[in-house]
Amino acid sequence: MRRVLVCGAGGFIGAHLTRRLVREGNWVRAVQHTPRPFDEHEPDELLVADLRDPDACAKAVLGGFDEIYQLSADMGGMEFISAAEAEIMRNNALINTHMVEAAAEAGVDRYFFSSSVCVYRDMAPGEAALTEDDCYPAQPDNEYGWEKIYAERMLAAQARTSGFTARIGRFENCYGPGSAWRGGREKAPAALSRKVAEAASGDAIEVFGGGTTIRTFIYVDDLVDAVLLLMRSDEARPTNIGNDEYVSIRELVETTARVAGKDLSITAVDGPLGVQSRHFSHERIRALGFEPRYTLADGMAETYPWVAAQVAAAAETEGTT
Amino acid sequence: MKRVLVAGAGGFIGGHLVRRLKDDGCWVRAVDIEQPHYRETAADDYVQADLRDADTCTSVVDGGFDEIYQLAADMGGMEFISSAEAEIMRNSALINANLADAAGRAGVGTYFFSSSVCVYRDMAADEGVIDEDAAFPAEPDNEYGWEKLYAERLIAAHARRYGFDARIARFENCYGPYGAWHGGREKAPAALCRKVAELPDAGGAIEVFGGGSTIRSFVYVEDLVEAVLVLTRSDETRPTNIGVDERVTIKRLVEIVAEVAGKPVEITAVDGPLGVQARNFSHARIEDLGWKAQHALLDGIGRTYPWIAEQVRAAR
Repeated sequence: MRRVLVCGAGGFIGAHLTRRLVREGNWVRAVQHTPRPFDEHEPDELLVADLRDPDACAKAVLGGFDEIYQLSADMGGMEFISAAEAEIMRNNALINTHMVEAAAEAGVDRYFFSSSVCVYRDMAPGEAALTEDDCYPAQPDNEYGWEKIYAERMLAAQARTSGFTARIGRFENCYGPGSAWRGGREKAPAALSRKVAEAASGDAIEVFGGGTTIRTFIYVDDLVDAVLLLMRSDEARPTNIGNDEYVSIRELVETTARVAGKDLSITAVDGPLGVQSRHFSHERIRALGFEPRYTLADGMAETYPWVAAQVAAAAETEGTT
Repeated sequence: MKRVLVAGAGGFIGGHLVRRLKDDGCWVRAVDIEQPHYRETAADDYVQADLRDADTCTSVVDGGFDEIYQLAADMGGMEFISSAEAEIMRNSALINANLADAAGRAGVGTYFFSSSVCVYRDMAADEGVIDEDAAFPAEPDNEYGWEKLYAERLIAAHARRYGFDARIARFENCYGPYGAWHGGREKAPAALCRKVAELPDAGGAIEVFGGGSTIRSFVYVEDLVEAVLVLTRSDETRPTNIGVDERVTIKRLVEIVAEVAGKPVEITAVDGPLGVQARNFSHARIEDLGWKAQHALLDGIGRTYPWIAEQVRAAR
């Protein structure tokens, strides 16, 4: 039986990954900073710890592990990344620095790091897909991306020095039930699901910049498939994890409204937009046999009802409508 | 009286900087993970502490400081940087993340950070001068450079977050007395002074990685420390190179050392890590602040070689 450690198991993707690893029959220790606000993920062992602390990292790896999945990070949507850049740069660098060292000292076999397509420069609409190698020379558009680059390199350096196997997935926007859906750290699909759930048919909902930015969104079950595939493959290079279905934020709103059965319009408001457009090659992950199972409409059909249920439950307990 | 903190004060440049700040009339707290390496400190208060630890950073900045000079880093020559990359990335990132945060919380006035020209990509020998903006898009040739780049950005982000002034210098190779001269962390001028000092008076051959065709410039430590003060107290908020325009091959540097030592010296080429092939940086930004180097390489080696020769003699 594999011994597996998931760091950041209290987060959206971490919780889905933990559930999958438990279901696979592994022995799983889940480490998280805060108790999960939503559903349970039932690891064999749960450790609530602050991985910015080196002693907490040493404790997390006690007993040794075949696989470590490092997803713990201070992160959120564009608004959060713009406002909290100093905290993000410090907190994430501390977590990654200490975890990589602790893993090396504990003699880990395989170490997965969740990087991000925030490592890439901004793109012009119509530009050809960026491959993983296009990360260099580096010019990420925000400090979150700079931290991810540094963490990728630090992990690779430690893996060379200590002789363990490092796998790096660069996540694209991921969505699904169980994600943050309010409070500033939620990503676009959850934020828009909330806005749609709160709106009545005929309302207008507010979208930063009117929704012309282009994105892809990968459904969380698909992303977890890809993480496991990459982790157990021979692909040593950083690898994008996403899908090829590109939509504008406006189209995402329309898809969500259709799932909700509401007739809504969009009002453009000022706000941080992030990069204008994104277009990444998925050849590397596809070469390992990965194929997404969910279209955006499929995924939103799973996600919107969950967010709508959170909105309804919150309205009830908080006495708002 | 200005209250000043120097982190990394036990090291070569830190030690010289503390003396310069004392001459300037500051009250100086010096912090280093070790005791002063090369001579007694000039600081008013010397704290031996590990700045990788967040609580330690909070405690050393206690009392508030007008200026913090952050020179603490895990570093060394090319051979060390190649072999200890994971440790360098970890140790220096921890120091920079924790000290910038502690300084911000304590309300520091100005925070100086010693970055490095290792942030730049490699250059061809015939390429023109590159200026500070050429650091982006980024492609440093080693992990030490990546750490410096990350730290520059992290400190700038903390300056925006907490409202302090950040000053960032990108140091070029610096040399002078009271610096590392053996053990693997010494830079080329000190290493070559040592090798020449170890030769008999009749001279002989010394081993040089790749035969000495790489091109470098070297700034004398007193010139560099002067530039640090000029930059820190200026309005220049952008990263600023500190170095000199006098560029030499490593082979030429050996000739200068030989001349100072009064020994005939031959070079034997050996395999080893070379670092980038050539370096050619603009100094317009620092010179615009009124700074100018006072020591030519021959002059600086003349002040450095006797000290290293004395260390070599004492070690025997």
